Amino acid sequence: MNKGAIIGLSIIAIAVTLLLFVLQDAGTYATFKEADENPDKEITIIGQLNKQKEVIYNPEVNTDLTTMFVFDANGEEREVHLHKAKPRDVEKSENITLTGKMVNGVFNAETILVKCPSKYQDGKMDTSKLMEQKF
Amino acid sequence: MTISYIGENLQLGKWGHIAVLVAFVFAILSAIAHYFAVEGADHEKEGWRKIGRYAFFAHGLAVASIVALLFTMLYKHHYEYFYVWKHSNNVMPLRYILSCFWEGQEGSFLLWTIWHVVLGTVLSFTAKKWESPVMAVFAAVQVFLISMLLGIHIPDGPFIGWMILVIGAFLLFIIWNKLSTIERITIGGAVLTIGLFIVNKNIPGFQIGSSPFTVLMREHPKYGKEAFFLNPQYLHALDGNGLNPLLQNYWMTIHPPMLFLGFASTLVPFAFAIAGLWTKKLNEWMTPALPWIFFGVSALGTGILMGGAWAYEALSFGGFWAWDPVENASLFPWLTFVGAAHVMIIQRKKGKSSYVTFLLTMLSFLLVLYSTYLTRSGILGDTSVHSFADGMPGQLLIFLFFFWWLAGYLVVWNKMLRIIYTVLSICFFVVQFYVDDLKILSIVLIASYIGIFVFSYLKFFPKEENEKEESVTSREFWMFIAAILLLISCLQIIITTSIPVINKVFGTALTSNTDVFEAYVKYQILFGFLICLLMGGGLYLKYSKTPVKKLLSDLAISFVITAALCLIVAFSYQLQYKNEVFRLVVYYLFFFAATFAIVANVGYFIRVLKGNVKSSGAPIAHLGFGMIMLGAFISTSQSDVISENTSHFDLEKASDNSIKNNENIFLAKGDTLPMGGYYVTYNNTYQDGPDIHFDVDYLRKKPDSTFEKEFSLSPFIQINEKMGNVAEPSTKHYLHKDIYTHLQAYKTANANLYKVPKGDTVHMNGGFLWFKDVQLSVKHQNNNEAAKVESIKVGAVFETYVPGLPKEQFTVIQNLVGKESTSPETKVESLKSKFKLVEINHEEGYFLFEITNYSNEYIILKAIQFPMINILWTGCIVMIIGTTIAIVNRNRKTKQTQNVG
Repeated sequence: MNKGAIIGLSIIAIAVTLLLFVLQDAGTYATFKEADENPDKEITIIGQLNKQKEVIYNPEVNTDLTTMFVFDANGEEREVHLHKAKPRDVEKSENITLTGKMVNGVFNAETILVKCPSKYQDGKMDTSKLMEQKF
Repeated sequence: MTISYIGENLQLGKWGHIAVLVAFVFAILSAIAHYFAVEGADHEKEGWRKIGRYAFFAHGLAVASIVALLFTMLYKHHYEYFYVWKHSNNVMPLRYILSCFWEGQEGSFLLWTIWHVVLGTVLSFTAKKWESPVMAVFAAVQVFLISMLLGIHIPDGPFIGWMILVIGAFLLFIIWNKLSTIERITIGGAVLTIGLFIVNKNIPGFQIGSSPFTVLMREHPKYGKEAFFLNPQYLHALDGNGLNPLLQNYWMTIHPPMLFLGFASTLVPFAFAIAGLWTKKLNEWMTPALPWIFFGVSALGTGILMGGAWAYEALSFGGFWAWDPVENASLFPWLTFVGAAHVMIIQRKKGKSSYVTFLLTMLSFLLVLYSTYLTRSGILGDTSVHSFADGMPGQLLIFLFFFWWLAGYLVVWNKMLRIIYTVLSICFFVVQFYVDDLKILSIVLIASYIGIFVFSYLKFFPKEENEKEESVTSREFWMFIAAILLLISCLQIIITTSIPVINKVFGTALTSNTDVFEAYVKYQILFGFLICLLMGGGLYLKYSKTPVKKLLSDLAISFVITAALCLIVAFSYQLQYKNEVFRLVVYYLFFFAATFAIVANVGYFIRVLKGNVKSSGAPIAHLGFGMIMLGAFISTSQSDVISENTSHFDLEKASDNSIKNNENIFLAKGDTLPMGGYYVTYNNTYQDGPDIHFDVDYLRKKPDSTFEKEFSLSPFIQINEKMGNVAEPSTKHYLHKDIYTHLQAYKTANANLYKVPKGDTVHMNGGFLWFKDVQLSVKHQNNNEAAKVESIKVGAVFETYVPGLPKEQFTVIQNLVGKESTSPETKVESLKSKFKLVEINHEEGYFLFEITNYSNEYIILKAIQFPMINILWTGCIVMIIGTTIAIVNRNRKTKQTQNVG
């Protein structure tokens, strides 16, 4: 076998090993129930904000705590303590991705990713002001 | 009843649609003509080449017209057009019109297209005998890109089947003479079957591309039904939706063009590689392609780092690189491109090409397509903060598949295998529309692709006979290793970034680790370490064989200097990482490697090249990259959140002690708090256009306990009702460190209006204010009492009765000049309030005051210190200089050999 083939095969071998390693690192999207069952494990949840309840960020008391209520993929609702300042536009969010651990029934999140409904794409036409104008 | 609207300019859009069609048709014509200039009969080739060339110029002109028309529309605020309405508005400063242009999908494709036109035009004149095969590829890419702008609606029903039949018949006609009878029958049969199969299916209608020239109210029913549009003069009152405030930054006017120039430049070597395979000139294509690779490495690298600079200046995540999928996507092609440059240097030296050269060169462009798919199709959804949703995923996939197929087809060096490969690809493409579970299909496809490629390489791909084994002390051996390392490093980033794609294909629910150290850095720091060592040592190696003694002494000098520098850092500055010894050891090792890359290349330039600039492209480019690595490493690994909460509030204990995201400081207006060796305070806020600025002063405490201002930053909030307010950071740049300051939240004083008749009181701060008196002072022209009144000054005199405070008197003023009135603010420190006389109502006999209590204003700050980030930016410039020298040198050498030959 020539050198080229050896190199080719070793690249494939390394790539496969790497893939396995990387996928081992990767977590899976989970639900609050799984978070309950694995209290020490870091878990990633994709959910939706309960927009009926208020997102509380009171920096005068704690600059690093945002409290909200989130539904997971099963529709189960939990209180979430995000240990960060309130992320921008969280109220408008469509989906949120949280990573953290469950502690005493409260999901303590360290990171958050807020996905807004096509954030800047879908402009709403604000004609309310325009309609008032007399032409 | 039809309404005739006033002020609409529909001509522009009509011309725009026409220009898009013209660009599309001429791109097709150019591709076909250039194809025949390669494949046609000898006496016809020259004619075809000319047609191809002029068709490409016509295409280029049409693309330029599209750009010009779109600019005109944006510049003149033609809100009757959807694109203009969606991406711009009246209040936006004119300088951001460029950002509006490429904010949308259509505009950014246009930007990409126009760079291809520019590069293609340059190649038309410089590629000489390569013109036709190279430009055929260029024009084909343009066909796909322009199709993204077509905006043609395909109706329901058999239409698409007929289209496949017509296009298939046409393509078959083009290659008819190349085929044997059996192939004619098989391919013809396949086209006919697929076409008829689809004709019989009722395929729902869809749209090809999205035109930037659609008219808001007529072609967008969602908006067009607004009652507002019944008014013939609607344009007078219509304002645009506006530009995403985050993009209103000067980096956003130069980063996208640079990045797309980089993307576009990967097409040139790709086209040369395709041309080389196609015309079976497996070695010659590298000579013209090499300077373009250097150019592309430089352009793409700069584009990526400019994006980093934008993120650093304007975004709130703190830092220039967040391993966001969109950032990663732009990095893939760069890594393989650098790899391609290195293998190509080796192979050119040997005068022959290799499989890996083709692989890396073509992979770079194909990865650009893959990145485009990742970022534009919306597939990244939940993993990226900036995925540009509303895509044309189907069309992008076809674009991606076609060129992956083409590259693979040419690499498979055997007719039979090529047919198998093609049939397999087409089957996969058709079947994936009909099955939901792609798991098995994908595994089969990937496995058979790998099989075909490996088999065709071992069995058929032309290889040099009795190739000499390369010596372990040869430069080419280690350059090859470096290229492979870059490929593997790229693979790791691709795999992790592609997790959403993996999920989609295999139906899994994986997530990448949100800790970027676990997800990326722990792998990349290893690759970076090895690459830095290779960059430092590589140039001291000679081609074919290096005398070991000389090499060791050369390297020893660099090692000693690097070790000395590392010791200095270890003892005087010390790298930090939370007392975790292993990580700290890794940090020092990486620090050593990056410093070694810098020291060794400077040494090479001084000692070996004796400062000869002409041939110093490689060491200077390597020096630049070494600096980028060092700067990136120090500024990110040693960045320090200095804004711990030092306010008087106790932090509520987190229910889990492991979580201590204690990184925001609560700063009340007027307070002075210690923060990271400084003291911070803010006393002033002011509004500038839509931005509310907060002047944050960083102070130093002097020995006598007084404060001295060190510098002042002005982070701001951009008020944007439509898209939500956006906070933009402000950064103090020192030579050796940056201090980044970002507003997490804020509370400004709220103003209240009070109607107060003279003599009445206002309750405030537990006491009250008495509106005691009104003073008038009238100023006449030239101070002449008989002349006209020039201005009147009204003063409302207040007296304070607040328990615990001494009685105080102050006056709130309004100035009247003609009919214009101005109301300056009166600030009363003891009440922590500002007063303004807004209106004097004579009829009802009251004065309207605006009273603003600013006592409970505060901001929440996050401040990060980034050490040595300037090494990174400087490194970028050094790398550009290095690659430029390399390009100039390469062109000079090519000219010399041409003259000699």
